[in-house]
Amino acid sequence: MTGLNRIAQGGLVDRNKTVSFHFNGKIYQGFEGDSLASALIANGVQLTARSFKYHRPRGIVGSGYEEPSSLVELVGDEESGNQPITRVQIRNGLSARSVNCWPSPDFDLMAVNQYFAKLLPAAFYYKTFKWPSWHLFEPSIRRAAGLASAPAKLHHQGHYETRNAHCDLLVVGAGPAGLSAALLAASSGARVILADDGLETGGSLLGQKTSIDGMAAIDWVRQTTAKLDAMDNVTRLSQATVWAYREHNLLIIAERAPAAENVFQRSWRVRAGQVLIATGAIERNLVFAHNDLPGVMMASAIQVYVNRYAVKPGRHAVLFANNNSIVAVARDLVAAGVKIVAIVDSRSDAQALPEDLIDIQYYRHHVVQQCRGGKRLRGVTLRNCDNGQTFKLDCDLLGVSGGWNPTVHLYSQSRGLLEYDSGLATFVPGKAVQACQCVGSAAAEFTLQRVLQDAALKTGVALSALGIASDNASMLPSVDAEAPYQIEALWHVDVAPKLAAKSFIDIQNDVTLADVHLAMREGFEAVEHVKRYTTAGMGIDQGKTGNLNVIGAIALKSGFSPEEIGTTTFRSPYVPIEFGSLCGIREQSVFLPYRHTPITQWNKDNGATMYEAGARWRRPGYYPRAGETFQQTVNRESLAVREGVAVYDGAPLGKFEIKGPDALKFIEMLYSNSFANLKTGMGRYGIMLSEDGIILDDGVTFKLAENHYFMSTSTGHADAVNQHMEFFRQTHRPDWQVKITTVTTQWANATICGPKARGLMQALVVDIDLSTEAFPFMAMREASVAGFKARICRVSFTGELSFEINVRRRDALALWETIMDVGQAFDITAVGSEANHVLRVEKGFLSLGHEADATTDPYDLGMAWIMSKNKHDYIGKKAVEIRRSGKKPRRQLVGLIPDDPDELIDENAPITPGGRRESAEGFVSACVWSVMHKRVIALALLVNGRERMGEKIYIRRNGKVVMAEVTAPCFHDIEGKLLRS
Amino acid sequence: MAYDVNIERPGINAVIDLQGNADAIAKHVGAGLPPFPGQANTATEQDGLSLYWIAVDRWLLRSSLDNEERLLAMTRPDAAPEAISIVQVSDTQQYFSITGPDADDIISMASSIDHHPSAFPQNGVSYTDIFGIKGLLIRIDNGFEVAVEASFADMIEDYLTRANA
Repeated sequence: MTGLNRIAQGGLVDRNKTVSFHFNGKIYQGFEGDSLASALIANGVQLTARSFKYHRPRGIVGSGYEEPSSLVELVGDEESGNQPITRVQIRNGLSARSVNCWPSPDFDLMAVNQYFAKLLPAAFYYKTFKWPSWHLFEPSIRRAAGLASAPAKLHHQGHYETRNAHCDLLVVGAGPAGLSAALLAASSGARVILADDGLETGGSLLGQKTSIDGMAAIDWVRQTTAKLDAMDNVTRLSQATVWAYREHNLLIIAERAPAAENVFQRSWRVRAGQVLIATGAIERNLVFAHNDLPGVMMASAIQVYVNRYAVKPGRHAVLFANNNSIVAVARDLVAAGVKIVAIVDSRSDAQALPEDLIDIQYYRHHVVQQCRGGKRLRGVTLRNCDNGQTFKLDCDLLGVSGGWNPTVHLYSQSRGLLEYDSGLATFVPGKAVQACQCVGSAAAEFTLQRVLQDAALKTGVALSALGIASDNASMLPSVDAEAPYQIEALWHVDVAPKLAAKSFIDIQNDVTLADVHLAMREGFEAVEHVKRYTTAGMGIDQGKTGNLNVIGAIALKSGFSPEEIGTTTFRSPYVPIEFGSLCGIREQSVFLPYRHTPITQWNKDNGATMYEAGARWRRPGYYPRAGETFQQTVNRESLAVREGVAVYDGAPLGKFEIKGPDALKFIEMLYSNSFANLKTGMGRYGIMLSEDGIILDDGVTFKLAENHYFMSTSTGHADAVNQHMEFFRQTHRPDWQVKITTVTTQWANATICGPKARGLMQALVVDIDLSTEAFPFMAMREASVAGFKARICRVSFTGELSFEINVRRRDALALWETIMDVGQAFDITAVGSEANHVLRVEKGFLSLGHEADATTDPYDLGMAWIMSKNKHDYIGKKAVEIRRSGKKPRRQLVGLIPDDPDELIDENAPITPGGRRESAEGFVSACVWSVMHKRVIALALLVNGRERMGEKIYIRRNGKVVMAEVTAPCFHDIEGKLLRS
Repeated sequence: MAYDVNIERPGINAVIDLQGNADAIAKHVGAGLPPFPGQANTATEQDGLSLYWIAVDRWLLRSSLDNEERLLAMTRPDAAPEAISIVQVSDTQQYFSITGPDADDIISMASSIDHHPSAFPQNGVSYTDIFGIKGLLIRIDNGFEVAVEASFADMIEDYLTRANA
């Protein structure tokens, strides 16, 4: 026996396995199978928590996720916060403590808040602590309220995992409806996933004494579960909560204890053909004064503790209900030896108790007006609803039942409609939007017989929709007949205003009936407004036991019906979910995607500083040598290109082969300039516009043969260009015969550039004539380079003589190493993106994301020549014409020479008239130290910039203003002789 | 290791991208080409060559890398008629194999595709998402192959290692 409240026999705990655990620093014992809540009840612990705001004494209220009162923080190896005490399984070594109290729930210094409750009504923080500043008080208020702290670090072993799954039928919940539905569907051949949040299957049957098919319900549960486990077409997940229902029947499940080694938690993304939501129902609380005292519990929770865990939450019980489900609870309590002092039934037309309970004092059309006690329940005050007379009863346990709400959270998330059923006094599932059905108690069937019938019927409907034949009648389990569910709504007990301020409608958030009334008096009458004003329905439990009472209270006060009031939004997650389970294995090095070139490892081995440079490519930024500053490295690399020879890894450039009878027409539509007269073996620079006439990309396209092209795009926009091309081809011109093949990684690229580039190329042994005459600028040749088959392109991004050597990816590293080896005689230098940036700024070459900033068109960049006047149409042409027809001033590309030759200016620094704090007339798009001019230079986009050459402009920078002179946007080899050399 | 699988990165294969009318491709390539699959997202095999139907009027012809010259000689990309496109893409794809009793578990982490045998048969081959990027999934004996754009290969290896950690 572990604990003074343990019943001598019965329950589903393993009495052969004693478990020791710590709670609030004390050692207790329970049995394997106990929850922390049941184990504490067994040990006579009633005071388990302090409330969120007022720090009132609180105990255990529920038995599952609906628990609104007692949250605990786990410490040690499984450190985590805000766990409902009812959902924590005890194990040897478990250590838990109450949240939001210090030093203990029994003696909590912050309990002084109770005496200032009048000063702390709902939304008090919107009205008080205004002077001198709310932020002065905010930290203290937040410390005084709230829940557990987030864990400081991960303590658990293993990692999170996310996986996908598909099935014909997903059954959510393994209670009587879910189990029978899953068995029927699986026996019919459907692929079934059955997910249940419990440690074991059975759902509500675990807490009830009933029979199915002539056997104890728990035996039927175990037998059915065994059948399901033996089927290959069934995936059964336990301790797995389906917490979100998305579009296209995508549901997300958090599996908390997967069997795989090293896997701490697993998240499932399930795409189901059909979904059966068998999530049962949640019992509502009843609202009366001091209904939050330790010892006041949901009636169904008491039943669970007695039957499943064999513990008695009290010895002298009063039961208070507005429905007849209390009868079964009373029967089980009597069987467990709990003295039932009285049953209080608020219904005016309640029938007499059954014969076997006839000895219990039964108060019909009575209510509990208030509870009495301090840190625990001592008794209740009853009121006769007919004559208003009050009287007192002593008790240490009060079980309450305000009726049952179908657990429709997932159904609502699926966008299924809810309807108010006045006969059942709750919202029930209405018209479905996705392929799902609520079944059993989730569909407002509240007797076991109807639950099982409903499951059989709706499983048949689901299977029929899947095209699977079934025989649902032959598998319908038999059960004893029960009285139909009867209820009369009681949204709250009418009490004086003073008691209304102690009548808790949302126990977790310390929201009272008076708070709801206050919100409505202040004009917050809609249910969503009341929620936000009072915080009712927020928090860990999301108002599972209280939300409908809030709706009812609004309805009573406003005169509207609950249906007219409506519900708040049922948001996911249904239960708290750990961020890690959403992330899965996508963390640390794979948190963001990354791409490597064949040269990546060489770059790392040679000290390159690597970072992403567009489209997830990790590229070398620069190759620092010992003792060099960043700027010294960039200068050295830039000078190598201008004065010697260098090589850079150009593999990431986007590359496409475009072929087909309509290939030229296609390219003519893509680019603003014409390619019609391009000769085979030659390339042409082009600018691609988006539909709205903004620069999408720039690149060079080579003609390989008639209607066969090799397109090179920018690195960062290669994927966007691919999508742009495919979209146009597939949707606008599906009749055109054009084939696009992405060959970005078929061809790696080492670009040799600088005045000595041709000399190095010759030293590498190239089997073609490399002279300017035979191999001019913008030409492409197929050749052998150092024995590797290559496509060599004479294009330049640096403004110097350049040879882009494209080889198969598999050959790239060997070619690179050969270049570096042969290049030693030429003092070759590997250069990174930073040097390239300097060199292109010196030349005034545009860079996507800098000068082409999603607002500019080619005219803005001084490239009117690239907007063909001869082509009838191309993508973006009309948009540019329309935009420019207004003749509004545009920002235009200019060069800047800052007055201070040594101070770099931040990219995107605004240019304002006179340097004043006014609307910007432009911004600095790039600023570098020029190795050719030995000073800082910059590019900018400036309103009417081309008309302002020589003018001084003002740049705001870090609170000061710097001046610069406007100049042409090219600082090196303006005539372009070098790159054509 | 969480799962009973064998994950390998065997390297690249000889792969040719074929686009256009099937009859025109068959006429150009000739008898060496495996028969065209009868159903989209399935494969056929013949003499060490595999033909994957991956999109409308689009197939991948695959063999081991040492067969690459044979494939190129057979398909003659440079001599292909204007209406069809034949492009060597061997270097664009990096292959991985995931085999063993728990191969399904790894694929369920990698991809959202329904790879149950009833939906993805023995000769199944399909583009899908592989750890967030586009990849080709191929069913093989005792498991699967995955082909991803080569530049992502190190990342996919990283993912696969984590999936089975």
